[in-house]
Amino acid sequence: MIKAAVISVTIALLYTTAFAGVAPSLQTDIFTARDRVLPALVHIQPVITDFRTGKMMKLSMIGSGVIFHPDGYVVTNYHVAGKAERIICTLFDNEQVRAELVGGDPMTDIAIIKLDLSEYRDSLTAAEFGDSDSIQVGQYVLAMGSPLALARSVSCGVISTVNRYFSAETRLPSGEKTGRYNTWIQTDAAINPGNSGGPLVDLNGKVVGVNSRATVFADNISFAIPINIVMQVSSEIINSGKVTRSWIGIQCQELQNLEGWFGTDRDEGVLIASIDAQSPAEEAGLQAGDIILRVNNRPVSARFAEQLPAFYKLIADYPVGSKIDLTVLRGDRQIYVDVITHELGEILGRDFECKDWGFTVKAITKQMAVNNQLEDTLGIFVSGVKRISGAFEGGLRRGDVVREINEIPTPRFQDFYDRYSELTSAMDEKVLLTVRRSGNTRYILIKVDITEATDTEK
Amino acid sequence: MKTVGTSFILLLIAGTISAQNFNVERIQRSAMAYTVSVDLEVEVSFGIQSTDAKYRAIGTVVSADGLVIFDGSDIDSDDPFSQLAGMQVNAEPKSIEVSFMDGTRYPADFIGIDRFTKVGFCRITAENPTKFTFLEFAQRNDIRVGDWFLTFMLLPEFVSPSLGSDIGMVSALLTEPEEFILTVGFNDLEIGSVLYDTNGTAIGILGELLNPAMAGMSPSQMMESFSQMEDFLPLLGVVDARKIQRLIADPPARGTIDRGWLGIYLQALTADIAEFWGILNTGGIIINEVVRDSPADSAGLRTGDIIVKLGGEEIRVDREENLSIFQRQIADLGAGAPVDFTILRRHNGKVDTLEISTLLARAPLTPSEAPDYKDSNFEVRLRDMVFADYNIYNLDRRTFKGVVVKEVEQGSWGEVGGLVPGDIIQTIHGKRIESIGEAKAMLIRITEEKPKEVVFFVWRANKTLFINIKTNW
Repeated sequence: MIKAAVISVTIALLYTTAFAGVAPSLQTDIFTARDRVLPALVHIQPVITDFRTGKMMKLSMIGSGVIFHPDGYVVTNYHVAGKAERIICTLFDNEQVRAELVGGDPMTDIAIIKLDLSEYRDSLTAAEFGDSDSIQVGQYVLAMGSPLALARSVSCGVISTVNRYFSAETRLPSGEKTGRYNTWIQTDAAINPGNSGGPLVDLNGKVVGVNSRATVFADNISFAIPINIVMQVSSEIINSGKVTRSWIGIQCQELQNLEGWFGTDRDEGVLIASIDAQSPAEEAGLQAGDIILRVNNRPVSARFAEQLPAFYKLIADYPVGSKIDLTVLRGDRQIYVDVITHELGEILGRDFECKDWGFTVKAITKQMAVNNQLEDTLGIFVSGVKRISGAFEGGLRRGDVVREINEIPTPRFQDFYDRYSELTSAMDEKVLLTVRRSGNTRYILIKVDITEATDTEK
Repeated sequence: MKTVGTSFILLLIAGTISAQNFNVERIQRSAMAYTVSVDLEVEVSFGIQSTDAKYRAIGTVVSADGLVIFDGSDIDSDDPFSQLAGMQVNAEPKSIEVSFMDGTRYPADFIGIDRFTKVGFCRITAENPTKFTFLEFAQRNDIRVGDWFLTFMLLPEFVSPSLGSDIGMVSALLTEPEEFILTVGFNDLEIGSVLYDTNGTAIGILGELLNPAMAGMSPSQMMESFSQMEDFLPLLGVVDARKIQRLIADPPARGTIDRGWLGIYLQALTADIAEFWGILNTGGIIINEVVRDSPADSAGLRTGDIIVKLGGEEIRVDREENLSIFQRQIADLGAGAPVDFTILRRHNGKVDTLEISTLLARAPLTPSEAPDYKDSNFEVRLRDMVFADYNIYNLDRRTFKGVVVKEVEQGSWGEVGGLVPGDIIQTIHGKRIESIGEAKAMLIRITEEKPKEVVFFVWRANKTLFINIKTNW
């Protein structure tokens, strides 16, 4: 018993002496960083709309964000506030204010909201952004936010990796692809649901990333969007409400292990694996197997998958409509290909609930047509069908594309919307939809339950 | 405890009363001569994992030269339930052994499985010419509700003797979705067993009603409909002698299936749609799409046409669930059969009636019927593309060619390199691949040349990519 006590005392002493050397400066640094960013931390409660079950549903969410401009601009995740109808924020001093969505970008999972400061008496503290290109593996960082809705929580860890790559197929809960134009900062600072949108802070008190995701069933494997990406995206959102990108329609693949096959040197070129249908790349005659050596005379390479986002971003950052000169290796010949970029455009189209008919639709964007293997952008995409509804009964299913209502074509969202409004106000009891489903036509007759339709109006 | 005992006795009494009408011993004695156990060894794959599995099915010798019918439902890989579970049974069994009740065993050659009745066919390959005792079925058209049938079931391998008997009763004579003698008292382990009437006449075998709720459904659509579970309960009844005799005369052979095919996508003309279009017919087939160069195409059928008569007879399909009846009718007519349709064509609010004739073509192969090739070095099984692939992925049949990766063994060169079942291989090591024959030839050439790495160019989910497979000869 005495012996044990002696040992524990010794250990305690050892620790004290050890900390005596390191702790004061580390602790001081942590306190400094805390003081610089914590007052700018925001607890965000947005109400978002969801259309996946065939009707519009409101969901209340919890997320985090950080004020980065004294006018009240807050950066958070797209998956937190990107589809917000209304937002309530709780500031560091526990005061609650409303906020408005300025704009969002699903591709980088960033949204910007602006606080309504008309009733707020104090002045805001804005956090400063650092430089995510100069962070290092092993560097201490703090994560701040509202894990599991527990506001104003700070956790500490190190940077585990500076450029973690996820394939472009990674999707947000709302269905959009994300991460094509960025790699991620990996950290072991604890991040839980609710931390989303909160800042990852270095010990100088600068925000180096926006925490956005964690690995389920794993401990302390969390990811943040590098702040340099966030800065570019947020200034575009503040200036124009959205992010505009150039698109040429190529899917690339790392060249590692394939250099021998294609006869390229190490760290030379970007391999095109796939060409999107009806894209500028297809128009320009680019082919799968082509290797892009130079873009506007600037050498490019993607030997490893981690290098792909930067290459995609290089293309995306050109103004829409630019002519890009590509130097391409095809077989053993070098050829020159001009591609004129189009706008990437919206990934998903706008949502609409056909309340009386029991389903929800989305306008079809170019990217949706490519991603969902649709024949073209004509018609309207059925995003959800209520299980107990005339539409479900009639055989309508999620993924169908409505081309005609009562055999009159509805090629664009507006046509569909006008026709829907016209028929529902006329209280038509039967509606015939002509839909496309995996390359085939189908006729769907919807018996409109007038009583239910009027009931739900209440 | 008491209640259990009582109901057990009741069951016994019920059994005794009706069993008295059968001379079970006599029927069983003759059944012993032609009833067999069919042991099938098949390859089953779940995603990338594949394993050999053994199935034991009851079988019946139906010809003197050793043609055997058996329950093929277990190895039917087009079964949507298997597809839903991600399970793929390789349609061709690796080996079949037929065991008689006296213990004699023979190897057998697989012939095929009928898509609708799930009756499997194989032929005994005896070293010396042997004349087998066989069963002949007799069609009975006077079966009534309340009639009793006797059957024999295969008991588990660890008991002896291996045949047990069971009786069941006709519970309903269904007319919808098709004419079907529904029974009660039998269980689905007895599917494929011969049914005898009280005279000892073999009137058919126990089968399952082709579930109309399930027919033609994709796995994902089945998932969506799972809340209506009662629609998926098996309904057991009689596959009658006429059907079996027709199949015996012309067993469904793999690769040479001659089901009839019209080449349309279809939906039922429901009363609601008929009324909406001002059509008086109750029931019909709405043509949703006409496959290019199909019999329907050459006959001039168009999307939106409605077939109301087949061979002069009115089509009464007025619900989606009953489409399979029409599909089966067309299939049963067989390739090359002439067919006459009466169709309605709508235009400008008017409806014209047209008579159209065409010759049915041979139905396209299903994925499991497609010719395949397994490469023992890469440990992948490839198959030809079939009609369904083009349909599912919305690909152009005229321009898109390749071979489909059917199975990839775990830990194989193929898996490590990144091949995934469902990939469609476009080129192997720079050579364009358009058929399983070309793929096989190229893989054999690669085996001879033994390169250190082989580059595949594949199509996957509407995108293409290069796959480098490192070899280890």
